[in-house]
Amino acid sequence: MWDSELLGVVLNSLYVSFLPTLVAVALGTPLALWLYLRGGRAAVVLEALFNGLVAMPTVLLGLLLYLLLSRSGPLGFLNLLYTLDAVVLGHSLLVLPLYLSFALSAFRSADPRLVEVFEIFALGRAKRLVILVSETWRGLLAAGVAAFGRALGELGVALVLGGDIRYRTRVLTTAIAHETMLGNWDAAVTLGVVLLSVSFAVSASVYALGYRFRG
Amino acid sequence: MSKIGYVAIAVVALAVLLAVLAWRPAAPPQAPATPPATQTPTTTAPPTTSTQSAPSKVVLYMATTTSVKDTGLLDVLVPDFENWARSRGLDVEVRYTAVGTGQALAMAARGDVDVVIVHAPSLEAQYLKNGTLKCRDVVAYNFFVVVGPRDDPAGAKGRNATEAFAKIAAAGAQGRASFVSRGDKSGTHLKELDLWKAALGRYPDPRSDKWYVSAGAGMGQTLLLANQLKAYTLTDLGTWLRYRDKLDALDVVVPAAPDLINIYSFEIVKPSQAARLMAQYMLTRGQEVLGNFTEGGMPLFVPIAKADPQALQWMKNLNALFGPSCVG
Repeated sequence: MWDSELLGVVLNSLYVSFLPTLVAVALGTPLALWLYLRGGRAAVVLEALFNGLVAMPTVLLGLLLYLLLSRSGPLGFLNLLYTLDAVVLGHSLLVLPLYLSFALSAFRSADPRLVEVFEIFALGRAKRLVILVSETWRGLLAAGVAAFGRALGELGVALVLGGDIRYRTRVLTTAIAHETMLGNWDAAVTLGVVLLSVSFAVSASVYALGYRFRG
Repeated sequence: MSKIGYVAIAVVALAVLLAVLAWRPAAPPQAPATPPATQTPTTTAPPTTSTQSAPSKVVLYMATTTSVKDTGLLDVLVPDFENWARSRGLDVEVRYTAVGTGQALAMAARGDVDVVIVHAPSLEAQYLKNGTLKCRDVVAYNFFVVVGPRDDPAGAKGRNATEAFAKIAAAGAQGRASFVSRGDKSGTHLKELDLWKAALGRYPDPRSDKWYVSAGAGMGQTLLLANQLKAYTLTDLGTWLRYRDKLDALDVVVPAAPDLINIYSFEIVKPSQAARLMAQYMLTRGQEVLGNFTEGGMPLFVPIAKADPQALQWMKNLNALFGPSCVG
């Protein structure tokens, strides 16, 4: 399985980790900003909740989504189960809390006087977002990489919602599990090396980008 | 870098995100399917039809057992069936999951799947009776084997499986032997429980019977664990053959015997054209695929079309041939 099939598996893996990362960034950044600027009890409660969700066991998330997406479940009409899109959905929910936590600490690491500046100049929301993001974007980038890595290396959701169907929903982690079950340990280890290489390559290029544009 | 630059980056990122999201509905079947579709290990090359907008595409949900997937059989059988169905004018996409037989049948009872391939006749009979399963065709069989430590401390060699199990339990009670169970409600586990019932009149209890280890793992893991513990276990022949070179402490204790026959059947939960077509496939072309499926030169399954008359008799004696057929 070392040519076009492997490429397909790698592409599937990228699909189910890159899209969820985008979703997490698109939803998580404004949400983190809102929590950061709002403060107060509600924000603390929400933050605690999200921090707790970071440790969500992946098989449990997979099981809950299976019950939702299975044909007898409330979302069964979507016909999503055992597709890559179901895995994308699961991974999005998995990495959103992780990204949110990281993004929130990135915002916290920004100069606290920024908030005073916001108040003094009575800046609008969009303006505040732009300024904060431009001050903390490297932390946000790290948060994105962490989210990507979590989705890439995750097995439980990919197995329960994807089903490890050859040519369709097989991703690197499920392929490793499959080859291990088959007793093909060489193949499993090789796939593991591929997985690590992909992860390192993505992380390295993102950080190289950050270094290049360090401003 | 100026602020305008950051804004530009943000705008571009958002545009990419929106583009990807908009492109998604059409993409997934295409993007992942295209690269691998160019090579298939089966004899027939798939016609590279780019089914961009095929409203006639049917999705068939299937639950099977881990032993069918972990042998690599599904990787060959499913693409072959899809090609075969396409050549008969039906564009089917089979979405499958591999779980224990107990779970597969529970999924069938929930109405989550259209068809199942399982291997636990006693459990299948119940689900056929309560109407979950509409029809049943035995498609293949092979044999379980009892394996154990090379020095056979329980003296179980040269007996049939039931007697061997009784010997293992007796030796276990004296602390001379142990047994590793799958413990996952798989077909293999259910077979093992049937054998304990026949040998002891009861099921061993992993809490009070210290010699009985419930692994809750797949077959390969269970064999490795048995090898570590120098314990007996029940395994399907395929996994045993594949793992044999890693299991230096184990040897076959009871080879293929009448009470160790392992019967795989195809069953329809929700009748449809695609489900019936798959039943037809399983009994015709699928039989060849099953028969040609080997591991290290050894066939892993005997297709029912080429069944040994004696094995057929054993199945009859076990009352394992029952239920209305899904074809004809």
